[in-house]
Amino acid sequence: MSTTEKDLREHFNQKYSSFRKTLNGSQSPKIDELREHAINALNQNGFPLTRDEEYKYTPITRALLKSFKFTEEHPDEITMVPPFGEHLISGLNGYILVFWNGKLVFNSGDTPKNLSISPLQDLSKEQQERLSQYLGKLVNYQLDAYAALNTALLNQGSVITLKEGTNLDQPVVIYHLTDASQGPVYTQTRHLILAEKNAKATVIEIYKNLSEDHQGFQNVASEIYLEDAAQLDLFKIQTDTAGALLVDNTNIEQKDNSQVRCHTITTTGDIIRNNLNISVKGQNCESHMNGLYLVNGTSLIDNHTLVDHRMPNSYSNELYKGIVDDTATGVFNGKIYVQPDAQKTNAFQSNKNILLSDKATMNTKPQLEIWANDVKCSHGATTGQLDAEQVFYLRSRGLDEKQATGLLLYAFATEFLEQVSLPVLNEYLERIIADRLYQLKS
Amino acid sequence: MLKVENLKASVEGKSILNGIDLTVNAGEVHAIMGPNGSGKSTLASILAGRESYEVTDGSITFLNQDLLELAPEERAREGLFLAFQYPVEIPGVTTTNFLKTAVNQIREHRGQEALDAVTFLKLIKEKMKLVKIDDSLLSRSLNDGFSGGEKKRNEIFQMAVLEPKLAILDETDSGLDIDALKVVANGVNSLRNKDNAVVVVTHYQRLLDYIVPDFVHVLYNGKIVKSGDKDLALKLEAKGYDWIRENAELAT
Amino acid sequence: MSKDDQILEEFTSSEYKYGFETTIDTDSAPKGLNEDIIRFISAKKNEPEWMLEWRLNAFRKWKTMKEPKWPNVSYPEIDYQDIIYYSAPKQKASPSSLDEVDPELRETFKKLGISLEEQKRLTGVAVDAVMDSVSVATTFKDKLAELGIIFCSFSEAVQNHPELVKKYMGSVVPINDNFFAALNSAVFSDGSFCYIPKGVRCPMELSTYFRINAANTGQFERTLIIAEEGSYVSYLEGCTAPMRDENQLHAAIVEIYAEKDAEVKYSTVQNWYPGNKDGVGGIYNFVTKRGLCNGSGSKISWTQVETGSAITWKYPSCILKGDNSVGEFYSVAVTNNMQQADTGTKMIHIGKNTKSRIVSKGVSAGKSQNSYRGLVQIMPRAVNARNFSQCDSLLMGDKCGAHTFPYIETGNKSAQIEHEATTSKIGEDQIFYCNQRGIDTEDAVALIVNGYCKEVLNQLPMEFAVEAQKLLALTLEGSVG
Repeated sequence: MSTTEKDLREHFNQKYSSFRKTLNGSQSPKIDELREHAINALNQNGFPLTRDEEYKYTPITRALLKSFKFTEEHPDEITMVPPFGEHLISGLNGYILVFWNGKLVFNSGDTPKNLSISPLQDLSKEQQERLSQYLGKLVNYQLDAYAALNTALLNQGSVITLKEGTNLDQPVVIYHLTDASQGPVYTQTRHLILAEKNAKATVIEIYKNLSEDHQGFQNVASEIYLEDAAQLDLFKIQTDTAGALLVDNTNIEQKDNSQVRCHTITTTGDIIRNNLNISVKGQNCESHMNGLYLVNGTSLIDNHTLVDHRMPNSYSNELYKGIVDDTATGVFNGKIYVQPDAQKTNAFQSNKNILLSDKATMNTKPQLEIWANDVKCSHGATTGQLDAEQVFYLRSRGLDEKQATGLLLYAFATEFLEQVSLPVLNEYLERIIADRLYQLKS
Repeated sequence: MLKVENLKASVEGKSILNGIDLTVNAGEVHAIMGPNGSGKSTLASILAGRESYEVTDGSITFLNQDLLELAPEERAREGLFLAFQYPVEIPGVTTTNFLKTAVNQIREHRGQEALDAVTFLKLIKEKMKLVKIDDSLLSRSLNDGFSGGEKKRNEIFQMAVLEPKLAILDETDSGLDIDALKVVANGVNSLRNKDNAVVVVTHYQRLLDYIVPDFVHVLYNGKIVKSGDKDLALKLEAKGYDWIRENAELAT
Repeated sequence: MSKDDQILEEFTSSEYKYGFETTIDTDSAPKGLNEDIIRFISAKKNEPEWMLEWRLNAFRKWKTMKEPKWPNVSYPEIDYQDIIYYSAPKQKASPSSLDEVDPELRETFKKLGISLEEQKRLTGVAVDAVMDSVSVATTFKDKLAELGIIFCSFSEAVQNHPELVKKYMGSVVPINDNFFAALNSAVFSDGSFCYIPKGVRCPMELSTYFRINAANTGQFERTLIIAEEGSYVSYLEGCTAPMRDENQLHAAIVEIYAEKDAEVKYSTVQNWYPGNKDGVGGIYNFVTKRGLCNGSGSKISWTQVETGSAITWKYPSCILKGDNSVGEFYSVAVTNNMQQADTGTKMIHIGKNTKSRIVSKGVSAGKSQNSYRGLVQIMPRAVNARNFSQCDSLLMGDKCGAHTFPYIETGNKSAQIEHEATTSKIGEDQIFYCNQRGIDTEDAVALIVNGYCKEVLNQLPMEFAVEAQKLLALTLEGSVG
């Protein structure tokens, strides 16, 4: 008997009930209420199927149902610290958090005074009370069922606060590791990042799926608040996620003069869905969205981005590039909203794709919704092949076709790296891109 | 024809013109010179009626009317023409179509009948020779993809067609090579007569070799600090604007 | 040049000048929709049994369908039982010559600038005029017949060319294609039919004028164009309606079938009553238009100028099935006051080396909402497909909205797809430049907007282009203060 969407919901409702029992009144009523709202929203809206406009091209719910095994789920308890060390990126120093199957197993601690990192599950009732003005305010559990699920089961994760004027010397690095070798793993992780005035930092999130023996499903949600003139570089690295089902909901709110630069790179995964939503609630803000997806095998990689300009005089710029091979599918939906008050907005978006195989598919939907007149907005989308003239030029200089193609694809992809300033990370990603593109089967 | 008295103006609260007095009579050519930022182009824009400038004091009379009371198109219909420093591009609108609309609105204002297509075309062909512009320019979109020189020539061509009483040339020489400069100057000169007047706004003296002014005014910090005949321009060329700066600062 | 001149000259009145009503006796069905009404319509038209069955089948399908909610428009619920589905001007069953057409009717079309008189021959446009639900007159039939071209009302085609109607009707837009298509298939009352035989180049523009006159009526016409191998036809469609406080429903279907190397150009100037400044009244224009490039090397080109209707929901599309076939969509959609438009196209690439081109120019003013919605789909076997899309929006005033929803689905690596879109406001410096040359602001706006739309307007036949330019100016009148 196959699992239905309703079964899935029931399973998570049960999980929610038993989870609530374990909390045993230790929680702020506001947070409790938030969870309750979220589970209700999930029950009301259900998990999205492909008839849902926002998940039209991304059958992640179906994939979950196909191999979902309620009974075999890996136990929540982790009795001993697993050997995560080998999965960290060598040379990438920073304030490190490691989540193993959704549980925080390592926190390097030792943070300077202007940075605080607290495990979400360790917050006192009072701390929860204080943070309730942030939690659940950006992650829209009404619109996205996975955001609702994450909010209903909100427990594991982190609260990262950058004090006013902070200029962090090292990045905050968060690892999301999933090990499904012993049974399927379904995790819900939640982060809250508060960057106070003039704070400046880099946050790197690394997603890894360590075993394909069973299903590994990660559902991550983050809320990020940038106060006046705060600056954040945010990385999402999804390069060791083969076989993973992953939904990431990242929601950012910007105040006056703040700047955010988001870099999302995805090279592996069964189905990966990234929702990146930026709400520009201040003037003179800058929002950059930089994305790269290299999709092959039977993978489906979906990036949904939204920049919502609510105030005047801000600037947003988005460039997402993709290379799709084999029978893989790439999906891009980029929304730009310019609300009536957001006069003098400059918003630009570009999505460029290359298809390498006859069976590859790219679905793109660049979407502009403008309610203000004094604006400059544009988007462009292209899908095609490498320029035959360029390939010919390289061949006439002695490269064989495979080398020529690889070189050009490498050049196409590494535009992403131009905005990655951290040398360790730049080198690491460059190697991944190079390995991938020079080993093309053709 | 034009009388500017104690004109003060600002943009976004910043004062740019600090009391300009200027009288232009029919048949005269005036040159307004000055270093960058002295307010030359502001003066030209205010005369044409650009809304981004706020006139805070003073008056402008043009042909016995209060110019500041008139909308930009009314000024144009009364015979005031501005050759733009940066002519704007209007995609899809041909130069011919644009000019025909303009000519006929001006004619209507004067109580004249609209020109039919044949007469209009004849007029255009005749005026084209003046500035040596190519036929193809007429059917291209207005200023769209024109080179700098083509844009400036197109401005003078429009001046020829619209036959204004007062023409203000705002840095028409900038970006022109010497041949184009001559063409533009010849065009302007051939349009001069005893009933019209020209105000040439320029940074350099070289245009004045070809369009010889009766009066030269030097603008500095939003005021006319020196007036004279064409020799003033030559002196300015030789001594540079620092000379004016020093004089002006001595005076204050 | 003279085109533009004409628009500026006639750009004087801001009234919806087609808003008059003709007082003429009509023969109407009672309000409401059920199988009996459909039988009534079919009987009125003296239709053969197969046609009635087709309608009933569509009606049964329609009952199971839901009104689409995805367009970016909002309007109060439509009560489908509160509409009159059939209304015909009372006149002789089929006028054998134009002299027999009711003079009042002829006057109506004359007011619309459509002369049905024979002297119209000089302009070389053959006209089929449809008032409310029926075709009232078709000109130049005889001359066209000499070439084997059939150009007549849809009802006549059902009577006289049943084999063609049976073969092609519903072949491009199936009866259950969408809610409004199913509704039309059940209750359509008339429309135009056009058949161009193999190798024939239609020597004149064919034109249909649609007019809604009676109150409380819906208009459901159907157009079917069949272009046989190597043929060519250029087809024009115009629409107007009286000013009324109520909303009226217009749900039409246009089907185009193009065989090998055939070319069909279909141009629309849509000027249904848009409602008043406060959004009272106006036509709901829910239309399904689709062309099938069935044969290799065939080409279908849609050009539309949409200025009317309270709500427009319309996606003229091309199915590029034949190898080397070409689809084009050129659109200008202007919305002012409270108008809402959700319009665009679908280009479905199935055959090899198929090409499509989309040029969409949206202009929003007042409190209107203007959306472009498009789909470019490259099927896996569509080797070397090409698409270029340009979707621009121009905003006038800060109370309106412009939206673009392009879906681009690419399933073949050899495809080259380019999509560009920009949104901007009308340039203040452009208006000032015009002002400085003596052109007032309203004329400057008309000039600039026409320039902005030129690439699309250039696609229209001369006579329509003039009309379209005038309409643009009229629609936008008073939109810049």
